[in-house]
Amino acid sequence: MKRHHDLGGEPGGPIDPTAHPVEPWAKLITATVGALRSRGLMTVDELRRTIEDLPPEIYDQPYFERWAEALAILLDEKGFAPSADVGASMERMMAEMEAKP
Amino acid sequence: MSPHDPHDHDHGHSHHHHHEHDHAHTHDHAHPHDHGNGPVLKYSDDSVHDVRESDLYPLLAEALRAVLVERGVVSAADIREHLEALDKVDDGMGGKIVARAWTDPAYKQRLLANGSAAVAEFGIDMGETQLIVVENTDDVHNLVVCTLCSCYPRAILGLPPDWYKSKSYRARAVYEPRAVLREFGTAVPENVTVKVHDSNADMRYLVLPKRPAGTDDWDAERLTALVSRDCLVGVVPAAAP
Repeated sequence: MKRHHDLGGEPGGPIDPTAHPVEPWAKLITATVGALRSRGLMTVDELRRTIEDLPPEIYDQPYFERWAEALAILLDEKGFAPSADVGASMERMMAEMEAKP
Repeated sequence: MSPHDPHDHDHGHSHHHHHEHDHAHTHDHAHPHDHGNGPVLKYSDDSVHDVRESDLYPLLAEALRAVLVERGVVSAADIREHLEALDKVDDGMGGKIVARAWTDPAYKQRLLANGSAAVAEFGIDMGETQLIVVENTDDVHNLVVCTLCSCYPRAILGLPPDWYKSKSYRARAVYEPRAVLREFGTAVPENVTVKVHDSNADMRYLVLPKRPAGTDDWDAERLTALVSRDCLVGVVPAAAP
């Protein structure tokens, strides 16, 4: 059966040929994957599997959002970045942001 | 790490199509996808959902880095080096390769015979990935897509542009390439065959564009300026002189 990520031949709307600069957070995700790969701690095939297993409503987000979701799931699975720790870290950063005037 | 080792977004399917199209189909479809669901952060508790959508992913990226560094999985220096390498990809590299092929027939032969080995002459490491260079001629126009994700020759071209990653491009390039090309302002004559190459984990494609007329006395350095990233993916021709 054709899975959700297998888009070839599907209908699609017009293509916007403009390219936008890559956002800093997207570069950070890319660099994080690169660092993990060069230490042999994850493979692209693992990330690909995680991306392809994302539920359609998450998969349908833009490219790096999809990567971020998949990376968070994969690093939780591997125990490198447990989701509880990542959630706590996000909350800490949010609290710091709110504390600033 | 080498500046030419940005990771590639690979998939392991041995799913390799060559689609050939002699004429365009022009189905018009309404955009079928509803992107209105917003991000779903599966690991986080409800409080994290209070954050503005635009802040979620920057926060997530920072949090992943912080946790990985805190736990000693990778170092902050590792990540910084990879960030630096991302900004160092030479966006003129594709042009240099093409200009060399246009001016050096022996190099062109090597490039078409074994892309990975020929780009290694420019210091580019394709790793395990095979680079296949496809030549545009008077009879054939080549277009590259990755229908399964967004495989792209990053070692040469850097991170792929938004349109290459878009669902519409990935979906449509294989069945209505001429309509897709028109959206980039490229009209391929009906007597020219359009070949679409679907990339995968093991194979990346690079289009060798046609050398523009009126450049016979140009040297490689001058020719480089006519070669854009988009013409190496096949959505536009090389620029006119």
